[in-house]
Amino acid sequence: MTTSNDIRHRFEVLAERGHRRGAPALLDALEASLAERPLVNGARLHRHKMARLAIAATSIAVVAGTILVLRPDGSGDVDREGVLVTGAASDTTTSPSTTEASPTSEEPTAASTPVVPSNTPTTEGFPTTTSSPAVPAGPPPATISGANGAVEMEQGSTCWDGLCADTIGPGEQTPSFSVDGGETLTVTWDSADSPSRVDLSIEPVEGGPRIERDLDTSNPTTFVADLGPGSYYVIVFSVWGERDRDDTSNFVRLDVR
Amino acid sequence: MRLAAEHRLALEQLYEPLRRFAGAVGPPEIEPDDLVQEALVGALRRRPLGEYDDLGAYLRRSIVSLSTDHRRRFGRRRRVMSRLGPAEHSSTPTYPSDVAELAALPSDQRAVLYLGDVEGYPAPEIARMLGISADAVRARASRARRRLRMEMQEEMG
Repeated sequence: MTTSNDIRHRFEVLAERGHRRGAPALLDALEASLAERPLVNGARLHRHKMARLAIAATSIAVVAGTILVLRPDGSGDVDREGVLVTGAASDTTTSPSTTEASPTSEEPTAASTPVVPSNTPTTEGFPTTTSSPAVPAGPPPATISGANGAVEMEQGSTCWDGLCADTIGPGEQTPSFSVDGGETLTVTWDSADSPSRVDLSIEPVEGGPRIERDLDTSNPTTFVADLGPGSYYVIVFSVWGERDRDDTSNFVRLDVR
Repeated sequence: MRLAAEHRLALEQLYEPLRRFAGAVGPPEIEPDDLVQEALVGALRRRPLGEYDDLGAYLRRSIVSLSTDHRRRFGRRRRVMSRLGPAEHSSTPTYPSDVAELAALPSDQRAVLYLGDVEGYPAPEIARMLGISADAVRARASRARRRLRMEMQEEMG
């Protein structure tokens, strides 16, 4: 298992790597580099960027033109140019796959529809719900329930089907849920599937030590609110899919009596 | 160009934490000192140092961004070079095996883990430093730990 001590030790190795020049030498080098290449004002910087954009646009036009000229019907001449055609053509093959990924990456916006038609085409490299029964169509909403009812948890940061989205996270607008200390609470995701990993994080609203623990990967899953009176943010981070490619977090404010 | 004395003093105090941060999040091909210098040049080109509300936070964000750019660039270069055939000797620096898994994490995930687990900053403070939400900090830390756990389990068989 990866412990914080393991991580700290490894980071120490990384943090101390390389040749240490020291602050004075680094700042001297900085001043020297600025003397060689003085700072430019906004207008000059703008012109500089426009020039780079123009060069980039010209390069794209030249490459595109080369492909059209050499491969008007998909059968380019093969000799010296053959190398160029092959290279350029292979580049163009990446474009469609990139554009193909776009519809897939839009799926989380339609995430609330958990059912995907069985004939939905799959995108190469991205297993979808049709190929893996353990992956819902988008991040599934979560509900937390206890003796006093249930409340839907807020959607937090998620990475789903290759698209990541961050949210502001818990705050004043976070829905609250009143519980008794020691009460068993249940988190249920609106999905027929179960997550492959669930991390629970509880932190006092007013700040203070955070409690972190792993939860059972069943759906629903439970935990005991073994907390003193006060308000806490409860964040549930869950990982989904056979290859652990997708994750989502949900949160709620817990008012413990 | 000479830096003002007060800016030079401030940068000297920032050097050590920034250098360690750059070592932790940067790609192996780039010296941490060079990343710090690159971030400083970028900051100076953007506006005078005295106009930054929190220069340290800005430079950390810049180091993460530069690291991500360098990582992508080196990745593209490796792909191009691999098409040309095997090299007689590899010029790509590598990490010792015990930190290879950590170094394989994306720079933004390493930044969150480093600031939390090594420097001990709480999530809201890391969020402020990196210009992301506290929720994103927690999510990135969880993703990073999960990936580390998986890679280390694979290594142990």
